[in-house]
This record gives sequence, C-alpha cells and structure tokens, in this order.
Amino acid sequence: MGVKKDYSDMQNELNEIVNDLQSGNIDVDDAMKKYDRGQELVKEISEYLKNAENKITKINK
Amino acid sequence: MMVEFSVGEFVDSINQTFDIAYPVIAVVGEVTNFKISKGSWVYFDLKDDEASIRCFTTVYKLSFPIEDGMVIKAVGKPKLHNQYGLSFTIQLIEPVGEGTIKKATELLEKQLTKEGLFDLARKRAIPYPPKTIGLITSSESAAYADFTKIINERWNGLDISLYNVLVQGEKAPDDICGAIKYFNELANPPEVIVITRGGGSAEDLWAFSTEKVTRAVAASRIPTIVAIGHEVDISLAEKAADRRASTPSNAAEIIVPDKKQVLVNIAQINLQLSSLIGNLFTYYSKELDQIKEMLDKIIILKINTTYEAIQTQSVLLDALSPKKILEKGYSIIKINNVLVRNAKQLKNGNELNLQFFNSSAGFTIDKLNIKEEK
Repeated sequence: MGVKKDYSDMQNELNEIVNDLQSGNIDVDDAMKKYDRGQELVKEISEYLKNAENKITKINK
Repeated sequence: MMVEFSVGEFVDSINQTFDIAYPVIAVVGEVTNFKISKGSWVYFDLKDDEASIRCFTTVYKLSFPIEDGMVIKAVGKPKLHNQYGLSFTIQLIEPVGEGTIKKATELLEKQLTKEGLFDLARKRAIPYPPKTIGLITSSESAAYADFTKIINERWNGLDISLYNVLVQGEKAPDDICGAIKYFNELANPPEVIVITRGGGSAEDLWAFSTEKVTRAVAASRIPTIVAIGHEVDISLAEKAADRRASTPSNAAEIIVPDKKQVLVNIAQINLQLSSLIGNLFTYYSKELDQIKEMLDKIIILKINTTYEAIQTQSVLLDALSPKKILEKGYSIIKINNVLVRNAKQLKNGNELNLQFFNSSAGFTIDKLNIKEEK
C-alpha cells in the first residue's frame, strides 16, 4: 500500500511555513523549527508523489 | 370451427394477442397532431410515408419537449381501446436523427435555462486535487481507459470508485441517474463525481441531454464534472455540471495536477526555504552587529566622559601644586626641615634652607629683625 498522508494538508502546511518565513516577523528558534518542518514536508510530499498508489474499486450494483 | 366473441371479449382477446406478439416494441416515425390534454394526457400521431398510427402516453413519460415534425423512437405496445380503437401506448420516447435531437435539446435547454439550472452562480468549486472520486462510466469503454491512464500518470494516492453504467441506449439515463443517486446517498460520499464517455453520434450521446440526467447532475450534492467526448455540441448534462471537460482525458487533466510539475514546484519551494532561512540569519546577524555597535558607542562614551573628568581634576590638582606656586616666584623656608610659617620661629644663628622653584640655598641668620604686620 502507498503512503496514507493527505497531500493537501501537507501542501497547505508547507505554504504556511513559507509565508511565515517570508513575513520576517519570527524569532530565530521559531524560524529554525519551521525551516526543519518545511524540509520534512518537502521530503514527505516528494515521497507521496512518487510512491502513493491510486486505488480503483468497482461498485457491484 | 368459427370462434364467436362478444365485442368486449374480442377486444380483450386482441389485447392478449398483442401482449404475446409485441410485449415491447419500438416504432420510429414523425410526430404530427401533438397535443396535451388536461396537463397530463399526451396524444399524437406517428407517421411515415406509408402509414400513420395513433399514440398515447402521459406527460411523465416525456423525456424532452416534443413538437410536430420531430422524428422519434417510441417504445411501448399496441392496445385496442374498447371505445377509441387502436392506439400505441408509449412507455419511453427517444429522439431520432440529428435534426430532432438538436431541436429537442434546444427546447429542453430553453426550458431548463428558465429554471436557472445552468446558472453560473450554481457552479461549485471542485476540491483540487480531490482524494476521492466517484467515476460514472462504462468500465468497458475507451473513455474509462483514457481517464484512468491519464489520472494514473498525473497523480497518486487517489481513491476512485467506479460505477459501471450503460452510456447509450434506452436504459442509459436511468443507469446514470442511479449511479449519481448512489454516490449522493453514501455516508462518506466522494469529493467529486466524474461522468464520462467517449464521442459518438448525436443518438449515442442523447442520454446526456435527457431531462432526467441533466436534472440529476444539477441536483447532485457532490460537485460534478461531466466529460463527453465530442466537441461540436455540448450536452445539457455538461452544461448542468459544475465543470465540463472536453474529453475523458481532459477531465483527468482538470481534476488533478501533474505530479511532475508539482515535484518541480516542491524543489523550488525547497530552494526558497533555504534562501529564506539564509536571509533571516543575515537579518538576525545584522541586528546583532547593530546591537554590538550601539554597545561599543555607549562604552566609548562612558570612557570619554570619565577621561574628561580625570583631565579636569588633573588640571585642578596641577594648579594647586606647591611647585606651581614656587614657579610664580614664591619660596619656602625651612629650619631643620620644619616649615617656617611665622617670623617668630626665627632666631639668630638659625640655619635656614630656602627652596625655590628649581633650586635651593642655605643661609645663617646673623641679624634678625622681626617686623610684625597687622
């Protein structure tokens, strides 16, 4: 089975991190934490796009 | 032996024969003398060059507006009425030929437009990309193969439920409506419904312009995307959908992004993250430099102030130094290293030591003459 993560949630979180870092109104510790989380998300999204599988279920009616 | 009937028995017998001979048949012909009586009963004649038959149905069986001159396929059975004679009782009507289909579609479109079924304000946004898709198509069709091929190439992690339906013929509208209803009634419905089929003749595609399917698409609680593979005429279901796509492949392209492009974007975001954190650190270190510079200024100011105070004190101290006084021409008299402050300390024979600014001299008193000043 593929990765069971929600792409949209990950992408939204990543966009928020970029916005926060862009705003500049952030302290060093927070900036470092967000940067690390951003790197994690980049990795997770890339893995999702490479490994998650599509599932097709036929409905029997 | 000749069979003898009453009139009523004869009519019953004929109808029974019809039931056996023609359980359900389809008759194709042109509509004439079309009329609706009391808002419910529909009467018209169906004719061709050789013959004409009387037809009867109800308004509820009309799947599109009918006018004289239209060519239709009427599905039903013949019935001999015990007073009004023979008529064809219709269960289902389909338009036949491009001209009739076009006319029927136009009339239906006019009617449904009036009701606001195609209003842009009714269109809803489709989640992009959705996680779950309800796919309504024929599982044997090229449309299904095209849609799944493109969607698998473009995106991952999708949960697709395929509802296999007939996409043409008499039963197609009920099938398609049943599938829409099925997805809408699920406790966990898909985020989007995709209804698709490939191209075909006007008759093949008719199901997608029927009132039934058009209304079902418009009424779906789940956002819909309808993709019928033909470019010239757009079916009414496509017009009623929240989004229309030109082909099954195009539906897949609209519904999900291309993962190759998203991977490129993600790589760019990764670079942006590094550059942003770099900029922030440059900003932080500049701020630190500014604080250091300020501290340096404060400390230098403090040192300068202290230095100036010491300088002032030093000048004062210097001015008050006995040497400074000697420099002005004063001198100090000592006897045996004791400072002489008063003439009364002096006696003849005393050895005096006189200290000048930069020299000293010794004296002995031999004639003391003291004068007191008042």
